[in-house]
Amino acid sequence: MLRKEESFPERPVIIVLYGTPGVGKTSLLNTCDTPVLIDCDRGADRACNRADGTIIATKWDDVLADGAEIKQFKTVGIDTAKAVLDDFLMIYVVDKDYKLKTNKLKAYGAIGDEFKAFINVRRSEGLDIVIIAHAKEEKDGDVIRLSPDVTGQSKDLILRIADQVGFITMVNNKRTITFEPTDKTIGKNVARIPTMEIPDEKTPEFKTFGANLISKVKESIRTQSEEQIKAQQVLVEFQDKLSLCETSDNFMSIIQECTTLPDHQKAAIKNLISKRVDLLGLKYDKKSNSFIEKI
Amino acid sequence: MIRVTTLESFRRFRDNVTETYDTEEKLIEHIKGEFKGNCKTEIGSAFHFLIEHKEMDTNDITDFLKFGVIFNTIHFDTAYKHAENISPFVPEIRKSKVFNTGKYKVEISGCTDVLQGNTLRDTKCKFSAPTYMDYYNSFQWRIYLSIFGLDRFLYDIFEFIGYKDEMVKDVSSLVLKQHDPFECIRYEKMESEILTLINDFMDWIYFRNLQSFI
Repeated sequence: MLRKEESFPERPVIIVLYGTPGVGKTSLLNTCDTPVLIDCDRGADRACNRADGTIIATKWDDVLADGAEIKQFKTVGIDTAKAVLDDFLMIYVVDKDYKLKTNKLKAYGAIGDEFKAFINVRRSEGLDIVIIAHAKEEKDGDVIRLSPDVTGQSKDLILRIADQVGFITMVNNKRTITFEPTDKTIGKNVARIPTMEIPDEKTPEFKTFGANLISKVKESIRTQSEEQIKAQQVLVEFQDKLSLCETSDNFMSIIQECTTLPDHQKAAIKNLISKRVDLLGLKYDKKSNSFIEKI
Repeated sequence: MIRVTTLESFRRFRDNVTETYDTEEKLIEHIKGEFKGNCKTEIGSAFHFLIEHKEMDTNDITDFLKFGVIFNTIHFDTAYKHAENISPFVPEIRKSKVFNTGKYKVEISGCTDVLQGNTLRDTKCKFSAPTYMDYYNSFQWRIYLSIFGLDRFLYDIFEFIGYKDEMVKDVSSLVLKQHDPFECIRYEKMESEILTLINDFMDWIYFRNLQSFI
């Protein structure tokens, strides 16, 4: 069991890669550490390299049947999200409960549950997950952007669970990947990875590109988790100190201590001071620069 | 001083997010302070209150009763359990920031529901299935991250399933579903997009001669 003040251990990550057909999404997936590709889109043979393992599936049961083998790999690639979620899993959940055929809302709920269960098993086995999708234009009012091609609710699901969502495209004849959201593309960049050129597939750098990318994401998440814990500890320390404050001098000393903290922490502590002062029937007096009793 | 919610309402109008709700008339109503809330916003406020006041004293109970909202015990437990899961946190922090677009210099103010370490969190009560892209597209989280100088924002989404207008503020018969939080992360062009939004907003304010309301 982890206590609240302890960092989380390194965990498997979920990366979504999307882009136009033929841009090299599957090839990039195959450069991850010991990958197994769940090929539901029959596109594995077009990739410029091969995964260590490939499951050629025609239905979701084929994927489940290979569960024991999947866990021998380090990365599992789902190619494509639309084929798995909208096609394979839709048939799978309707087969399990025929009433879902006419109740799309419930069907998408069931698909989400099945997909999450699959993802959770892979994560518990320690596998990183790469989800591949084609790009599709999406309209939000007057704004049009490219986003992973999966139906609404399934897209919600993958965007929510993903640590990184990257768009792969050709820029000046070179393949690039960007995780940053832009006015033209959806993105998610927890690890703050800059837009990168994907190395030529004949170079040695390409062979480990996916593996290196996942390592960076993991390292960044670990660092952020530690920073989060430190920031929480600061606030807890001040909360504890404030609970003992009774006099104006006590409060002034706390305010003095805050001066070097980042602005968001200062604002939080100001809020805590205000509540404590109110509870004690005090108020700040600008003239004397101290806390005095409310009249 | 401009509120974050005002800018987000303007963004929805500007981008024509919905033709029914995001009209110019409703935006002007919002800016003039004519929108006083409704049962759904009251239910949301009452639920926020529970998350922030796990241990209620007599004054808190009096304040809570003013909402006039009826929850069931599971709703209370859900709010308290959530508060426990995200603790330690500091609730309701108001902060402002002056943005200089080159053309306008304006102060934007916002009150975050929760500061948890380096993460801002916002509680949303919904009465229909949430659409995560609505949150992704929102400028609320972008502006909050800018004001607080942070990188990570989480939406904690609670859905009252099966709400009907005739229930008014009595949701005690409804199932409350807590969705997984939705994470929003700062990105490179976020600040410049905020400045563009502020520019568009101020241009519109002057065009409609609404300066006195901000």
